[in-house]
Amino acid sequence: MTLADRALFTVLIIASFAGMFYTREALSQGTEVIIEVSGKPVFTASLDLDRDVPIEGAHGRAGVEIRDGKVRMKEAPCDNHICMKQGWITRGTIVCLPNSIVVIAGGGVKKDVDAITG
Amino acid sequence: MMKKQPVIAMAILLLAALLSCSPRKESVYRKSMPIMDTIVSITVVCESKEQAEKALKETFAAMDHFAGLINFYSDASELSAINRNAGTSATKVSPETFDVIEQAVFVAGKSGGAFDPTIGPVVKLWDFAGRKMPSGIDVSRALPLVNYRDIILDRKNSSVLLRKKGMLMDLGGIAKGYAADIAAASLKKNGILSGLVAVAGDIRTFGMKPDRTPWSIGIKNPRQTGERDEIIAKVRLTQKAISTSGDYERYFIADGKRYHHILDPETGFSAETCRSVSIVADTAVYTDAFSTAVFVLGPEQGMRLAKEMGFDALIIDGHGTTHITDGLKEKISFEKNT
Repeated sequence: MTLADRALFTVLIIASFAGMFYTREALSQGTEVIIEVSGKPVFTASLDLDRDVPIEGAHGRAGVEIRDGKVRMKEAPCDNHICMKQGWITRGTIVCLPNSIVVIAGGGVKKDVDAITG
Repeated sequence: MMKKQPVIAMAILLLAALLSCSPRKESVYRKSMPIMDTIVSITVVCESKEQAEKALKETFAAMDHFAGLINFYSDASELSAINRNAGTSATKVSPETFDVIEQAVFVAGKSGGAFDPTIGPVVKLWDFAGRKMPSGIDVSRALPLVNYRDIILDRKNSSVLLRKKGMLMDLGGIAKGYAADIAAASLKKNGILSGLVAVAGDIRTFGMKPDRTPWSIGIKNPRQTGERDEIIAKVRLTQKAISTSGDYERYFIADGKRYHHILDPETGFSAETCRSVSIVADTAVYTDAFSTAVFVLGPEQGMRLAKEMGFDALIIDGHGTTHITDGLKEKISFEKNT
């Protein structure tokens, strides 16, 4: 193998890895749920994995349930329980304002846009 | 047979090209906070995490402060003080409150009252969550209290007076856009050259993304049937704001008719001739308020107003037909699944 062949070989290997990297960046990473308390993300996971997530909010412990690709606020220490009444979602947000908890399903926006108006 | 040197040179060039494509030092930082009864998401592009965190912290604080001044539901807000003092005395307010009200009066004047911040007495009669509409008599009693010309602004004393007792100012149709502009100014003050502020659907962009492309904003499909057709179009924006007013947010259907939250200040009932209106302009305070105004005016008059103001617009009328300004055609791509 000549020096030129080696150089070309190296470049091709780098190119293939770079291709993998950029493809990974460009493709959707799957449907996620992000839970934020007072604006800080405290929990991130796939919506595909069923689980109960206890979350310490500003005024006590709340319970977020992830089941069958959906998420809901199962328990909340607030008075009005608006967040619990919202029920199951697959995309969008559930907000518990008194407890400063925000549950964002599907990343909040589609992966190929930076924000949605409307 | 190929010579070695050109091959090596080619390899080096290819490697250099690849390296030049590698991620820049700039990173994207995103944070969301519940403010003004909605979710505010701010995305910034910058080189240091510390700089991003400082800018975001100060920006959210500035927005939260503004939200406290104009909160319709808080007795402690300046807006509530103005409403309490309606018909009796002028209320001294902070520069932000005065400015947003002045902007609201400007939009009201430009739209001939199609957008009117004094629509509060009529809004109070509607219960969209409870699917209750007011009687025609109740609406006709409230309508005389709806008139932006009865807002008396005293710039010298930074005070506001609602001329008639019972008037109620509701800045819900302009405050989110104004807050997005506050955020953009705060981020720039903190040295952020590129970012996106989304106060629910009122969005302000500046600068470019790290890959040097404009921000991509999805416009919601007013007649969405599932996840696949959530977006009707995408708009590529930089240095611009966009807002959308639609008949699908707070609404109920009774006797086959859609009653939604965008009320015509002239009738007190839902405006009927559009499904959604998106406006693109330099500032979000205008896109927020003018999207409502254009919605109320309807496709023909609304499009005339948008053009007169130098804005871009996408109007989806009551039949689903799209009306679009020439300037927007080069920035927009419609989705195939809608």
